[in-house]
Amino acid sequence: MKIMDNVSRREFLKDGCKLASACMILNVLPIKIPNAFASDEASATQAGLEAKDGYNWGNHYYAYLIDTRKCIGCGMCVQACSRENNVPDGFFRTWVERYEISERGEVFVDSPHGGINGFEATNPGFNATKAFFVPKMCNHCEHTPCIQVCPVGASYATKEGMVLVDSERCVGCGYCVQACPYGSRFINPITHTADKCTWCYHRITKGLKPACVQACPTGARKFGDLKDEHDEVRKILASERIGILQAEKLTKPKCYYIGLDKEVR
Amino acid sequence: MKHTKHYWRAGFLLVGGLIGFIFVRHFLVPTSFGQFGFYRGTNLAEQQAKSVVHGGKESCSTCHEDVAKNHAAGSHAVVQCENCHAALSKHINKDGEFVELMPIDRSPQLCLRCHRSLPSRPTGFPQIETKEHLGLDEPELQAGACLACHNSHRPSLEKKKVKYENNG
Amino acid sequence: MFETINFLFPNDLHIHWSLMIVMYPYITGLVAGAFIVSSLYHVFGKIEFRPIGRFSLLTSLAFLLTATLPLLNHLGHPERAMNIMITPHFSSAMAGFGILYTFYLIVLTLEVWLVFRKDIVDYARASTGLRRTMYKILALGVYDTSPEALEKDHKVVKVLAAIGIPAACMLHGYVGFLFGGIKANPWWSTPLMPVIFLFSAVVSGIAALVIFYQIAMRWRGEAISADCIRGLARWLWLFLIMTVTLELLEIITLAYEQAEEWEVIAPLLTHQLSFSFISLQMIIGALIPMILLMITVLMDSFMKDKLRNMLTFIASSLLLIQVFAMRWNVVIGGQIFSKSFRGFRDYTPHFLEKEGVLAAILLGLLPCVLLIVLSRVLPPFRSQKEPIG
Ligand code: HEC
Ligand code: HEC
Ligand code: HEC
Ligand code: HEC
Repeated sequence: MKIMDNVSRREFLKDGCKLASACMILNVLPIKIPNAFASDEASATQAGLEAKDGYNWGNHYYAYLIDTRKCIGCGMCVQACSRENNVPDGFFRTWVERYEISERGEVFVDSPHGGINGFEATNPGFNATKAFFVPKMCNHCEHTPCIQVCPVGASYATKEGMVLVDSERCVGCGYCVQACPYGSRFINPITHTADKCTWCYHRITKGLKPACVQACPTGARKFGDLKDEHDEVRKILASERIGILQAEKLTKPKCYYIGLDKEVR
Repeated sequence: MKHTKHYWRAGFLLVGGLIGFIFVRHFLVPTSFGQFGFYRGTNLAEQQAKSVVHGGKESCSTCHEDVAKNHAAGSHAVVQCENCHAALSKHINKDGEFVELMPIDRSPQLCLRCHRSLPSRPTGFPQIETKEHLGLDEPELQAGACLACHNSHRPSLEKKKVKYENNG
Repeated sequence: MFETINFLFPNDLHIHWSLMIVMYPYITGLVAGAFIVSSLYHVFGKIEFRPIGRFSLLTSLAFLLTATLPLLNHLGHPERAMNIMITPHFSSAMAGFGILYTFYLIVLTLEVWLVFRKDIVDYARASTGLRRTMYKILALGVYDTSPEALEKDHKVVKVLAAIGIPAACMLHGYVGFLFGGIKANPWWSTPLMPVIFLFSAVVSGIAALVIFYQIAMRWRGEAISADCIRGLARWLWLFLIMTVTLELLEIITLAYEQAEEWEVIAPLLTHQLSFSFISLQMIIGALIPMILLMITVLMDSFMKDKLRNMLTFIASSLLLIQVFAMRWNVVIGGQIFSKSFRGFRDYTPHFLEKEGVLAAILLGLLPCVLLIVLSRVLPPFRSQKEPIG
């Protein structure tokens, strides 16, 4: 057709951009959250009504699964997280650790820059008989010490089980940083407030995967919804043998690991 | 109750201070605080409102159909475009407008990041020792060293051959 | 065998609680300690402390008024500090701070006010102009100094001091609890922590009073009360013994249990903290003063006043260092090792940074200056009877 003939490749691409953007970058969906004062049945019906359009936090309960046997230590997850969440240099919402263990029980661990640029070959003399990578991040614990110690209610748990920080209430005391056994929190040097992984709350509420999960080329990182019957993570959790970090702290982490070694904490 | 006047005055000050505090506090508590729990309810919406930066490989295919098709057919289909290039939002903005060119990293370090032979990698994963593969140590490799033989989007050489044979 | 490993969690490369958080428990400790001494006089009727009964109250107030400054300087958002009162999240130990602090401030201010009320009224009557207005406001405009009123004041002071003791203990025990309640940190997480903090607070408070009192008397050219110093030395010795015992108990328990955390705490104490823990906290700060105080207490009858004053002064100065070292070892020591338990970082505060050495020195001097100002407004030593103006 005539019109089509006149459209140059470039313009076509640019128009395509607009069209694509509509589907590609989803709009901010308003939260449909049942009123806190409403009774449970009321919120349930509300949830049923609103399930087809908006995002309803009552319908989700998230969990994260990390298969250390699949991790190749490329660090693309750390890079993606950093870009997605604008994480300042030298601080990490997620990072990757490398473990090399020799027959004699010597352990070598490192995580250069959190693994954001991948890992170089090191340790020429070290005769590792067992070696692996372990990605780490906020465990979004069910009984989390960080929310417990926040003096101003800036740190909180959502109904989906996420632990978030309100950077407008946070006073930056750093108590939560001390309270986290996993080293997942830090004081953001730009905002001067506590910062941590949010499992990309802005993405998952739009139906996307967290940036780190999307970036993982091998499927070592999986994100799932325990309230979804057909969810892959839910099935794996139900059938496989899984581990968690520092179970003795009784924080009930929601990051589950496959192939965890005793040296990892 | 004689000789208690100063106590009354001190008491008034304290009570006045307390009432003043309660009054001021009333205005300082954000309205949505406590809506869902002990936190500011509107923060949820703020958290959700943050813009998405990575679009995923599907987001590229609308404009780079040929590359995407090529990429999807090879063993790198599992590797996100944005891993090797940059985040979508750097390239195309929210309204779908072009912002700046995507960076292209032709350095062998990009490939080696995933394919450098390391003991901690899963054994089944394809990894190379540059000395064996190209006869050169890593620092000696030039930019584009891997691309001379491998297509970054569809690197497997055998599959390429198979495809050519089918065509021919 | 493992010396090659020095692995820190990437976010653990930073010390989040800096020198300021060392200063904060140090200053609140002085508050609690000085207050306990004043209570020994006001509640427990230890007459020997009469010369410093009022001075110790002012000391306590001066330090209390500045206790929050290190915290404010440390906060990422000091302008939001009031959030802790506006929306206190009571599952957090820290949320109690605003309430405990305010409560204690009210109790202490009331007590100081009642103790000094007669003086305030007298000054108000004797002075003119601005000075008169100031004292009038301080007296809240009530000039009732009849014996009945003073008798009532005296009784109320006793009650306030009695309330103040648990309040002071809570305020400081609570600071220890802030650390002791962190299960993520094996060096902090022990129920002994609040107790250790409390006892060492009393040590530092008494030591500071010994020093301030002697300096004040020198300055004013008056005689130092031998009874007072003798009493202070005795109490100081007692509390020092308890503090050191508790501090050692904690470490011995850890070492004896040989739990997982000992793997990181043993090198921490012998390497990273070897100077501040072994040399300062244990030898220079505890062993030597313990011997000095033992001499002063046991050989009291053979001792001239001057020697006793000197020995207690030296012991007290060392003890102030000891308590500071102890705060440092707890706060900084607890952050020097990574929660990976596999590595250490080091921390040396810079001189000029926001939370650096200079800021700490200034924050240490400020309460002393404030104490001088307060002593000008409300002279604490009774011998000074000449009217002001
Ligand atoms: C809305 C359309 C659109 C989308 C979506 C899009 N691009 Fe592009 N891309 C363009 C345009 C337009 C150019 C410029 C082409 C030209 O100048 O020849 C371009 C150029 C590029 C280039 C080449 C840069 C160069 O220096 O030659 C790369 C690489 C690239 N895009 C990668 C991507 C990746 C990866 C994605 C997905 C994350 C993506 N693009 C998504 C429109 C798009
Ligand atoms: C393994 C890393 C890698 C991945 C994954 C990758 N690219 Fe590339 N891309 C490259 C490299 C390297 C070049 C430069 C190739 C060259 O110069 O030969 C390139 C070049 C390009 C170009 C410009 C040149 C051309 O071939 O047209 C575009 C457009 C592009 N990529 C888009 C994409 C898109 C879209 C995807 C995802 C579907 C993608 N890339 C995935 C590494 C990658
Ligand atoms: C983000 C990590 C990543 C990067 C970067 C990357 N690859 Fe790959 N590559 C993979 C994965 C994952 C596979 C699929 C492995 C499999 O099938 O098990 C793969 C497969 C391959 C294969 C095919 C191996 C086979 O046995 O089929 C080759 C060849 C290859 N990559 C070369 C390259 C080159 C050349 C580059 C640089 C332009 C590169 N890769 C960059 C992750 C990466
Ligand atoms: C001279 C051409 C050439 C260059 C340059 C080259 N390769 Fe290869 N590569 C090959 C050939 C040929 C194979 C074998 C193909 C096969 O077995 O499928 C191969 C295989 C691979 C494989 C798969 C190995 C496996 O075990 O399955 C990887 C990964 C790979 N190359 C990565 C790289 C990287 C990274 C670079 C850049 C440092 C690079 N190659 C440079 C020719 C080359």
